[in-house]
Amino acid sequence: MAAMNRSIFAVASFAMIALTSGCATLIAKAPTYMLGRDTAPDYPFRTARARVDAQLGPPIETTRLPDGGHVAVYKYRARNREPNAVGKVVTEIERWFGPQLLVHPGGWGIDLLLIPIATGAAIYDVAIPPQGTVTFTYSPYGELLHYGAPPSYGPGDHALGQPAIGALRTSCSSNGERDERQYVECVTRRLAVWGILE
Amino acid sequence: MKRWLLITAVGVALSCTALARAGHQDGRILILAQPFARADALWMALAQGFFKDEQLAVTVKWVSSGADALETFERGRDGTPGFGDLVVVSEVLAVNFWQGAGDGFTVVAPLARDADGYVAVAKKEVTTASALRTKGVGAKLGSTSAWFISEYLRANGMSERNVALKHQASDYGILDWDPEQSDIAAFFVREPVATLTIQKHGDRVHRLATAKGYVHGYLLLGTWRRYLHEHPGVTERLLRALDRGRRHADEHKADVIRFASEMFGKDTAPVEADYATTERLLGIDRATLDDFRSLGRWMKDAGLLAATVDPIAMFDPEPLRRSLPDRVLTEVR
Repeated sequence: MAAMNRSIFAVASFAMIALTSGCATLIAKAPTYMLGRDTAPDYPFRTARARVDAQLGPPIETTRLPDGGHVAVYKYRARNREPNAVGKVVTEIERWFGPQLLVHPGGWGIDLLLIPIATGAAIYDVAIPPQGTVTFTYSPYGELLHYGAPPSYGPGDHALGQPAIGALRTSCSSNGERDERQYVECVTRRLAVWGILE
Repeated sequence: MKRWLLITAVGVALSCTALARAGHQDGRILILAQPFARADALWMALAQGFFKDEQLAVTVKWVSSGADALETFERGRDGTPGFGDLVVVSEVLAVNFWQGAGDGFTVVAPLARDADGYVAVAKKEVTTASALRTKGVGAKLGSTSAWFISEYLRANGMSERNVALKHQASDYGILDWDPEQSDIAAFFVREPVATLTIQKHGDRVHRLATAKGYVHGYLLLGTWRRYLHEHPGVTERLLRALDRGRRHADEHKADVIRFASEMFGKDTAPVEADYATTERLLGIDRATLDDFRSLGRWMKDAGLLAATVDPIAMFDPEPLRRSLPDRVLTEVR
């Protein structure tokens, strides 16, 4: 009877270890699947600031602009892309020693020990999540204008791109300059304007 | 009888509500503009509340380049063409856009223009235009500076065929120029780059010319023609507020510089340079017509404008004529 109880205990323990094998990895990685955003929050043009504030919470920093608008910086919960250092150790142990943990009775204890460690690591990730920040510019009427702050000063000297050489030639012929000399003159002038002839 | 009176009263009430709503909607204006001091009339109209005085709720979406502004303006949103009610853009881009948009786009007013801000910086030995003959000349081709080169050479009996134009992706390329070794004899650039170049190279280079007397770079206020039809009177109010902004900007340099500093960053040297050379216009005068005829000629030479197109037709002077009648030449139609 005692021998039978030992066997049942051994089978039950093995079954439990087998069933929980890999659980520590799943627990450690859980916060990377479940919580936070992969990308910064996205709102359409002219979304009311009240709606953004309601969803993201009040901004951590607000700057008034001289045109009457505002630049507001918000924090948001970013997604953990990978487990923290402790979680990584747990997943590595399970990855490299998983089969041995099952085969050797001493490994069963280690495997069972990994679960609370992984749970602790996951709780840490959930409790102290990574923070992202996003900046929005609002109009004087509290509507979302664009991401980020206004652009910096100083547009360059705007330029139009050079038409293709074929297009330059075609437009010379379509301009009614059908005379061969006029056509050559037109093409030569255009190429010179674009620095193609030297 | 009573029933008819009731129906009439309800009809009148509904019409008044609709008109009130239309009026409210008309007051909301979205302008796409670049962070450029040539638009300081717009800056001051915003900051000093001149738009509000005209019962206008103006929002400006600042866009880093004119090309981006026009792309957004044209592309529209949610399948509806046209995003933004008005756009502030340079003359070269405006003419190009107008040509592509058919008769849909129009310019209601030049906000400002600048000639002294466009500068030819040459090696010290190049003291006349004719000394550029056969030499290399650097500029951002397809831009206002390239138009300046064309008019400068033409005024001195030459053309682009008499020099070797070298395209510069950015005006700031001139800062890598070695005046002794380079085959480029002169650069045509916009301030503050010219001043920076002269500071860097000292007496090895000099200011050969500015665009004064040749061309002006403009900043224009454009919109869709349908906007003018659908919102009668709104552009006129906008122009009146802009004119107050123009005067305020002209008289209060510190306000303009402070606006730029708080809005677009702390470095105000380029803003001061642009402020100094900006001619606040808000009108269509003789020089405007001359400039756009010259621009049209150059764009045709460059293959950028169809031969039969007259850029003057891009302007719709009526809103300006109704709001600031003395600012439009009578011959402009």
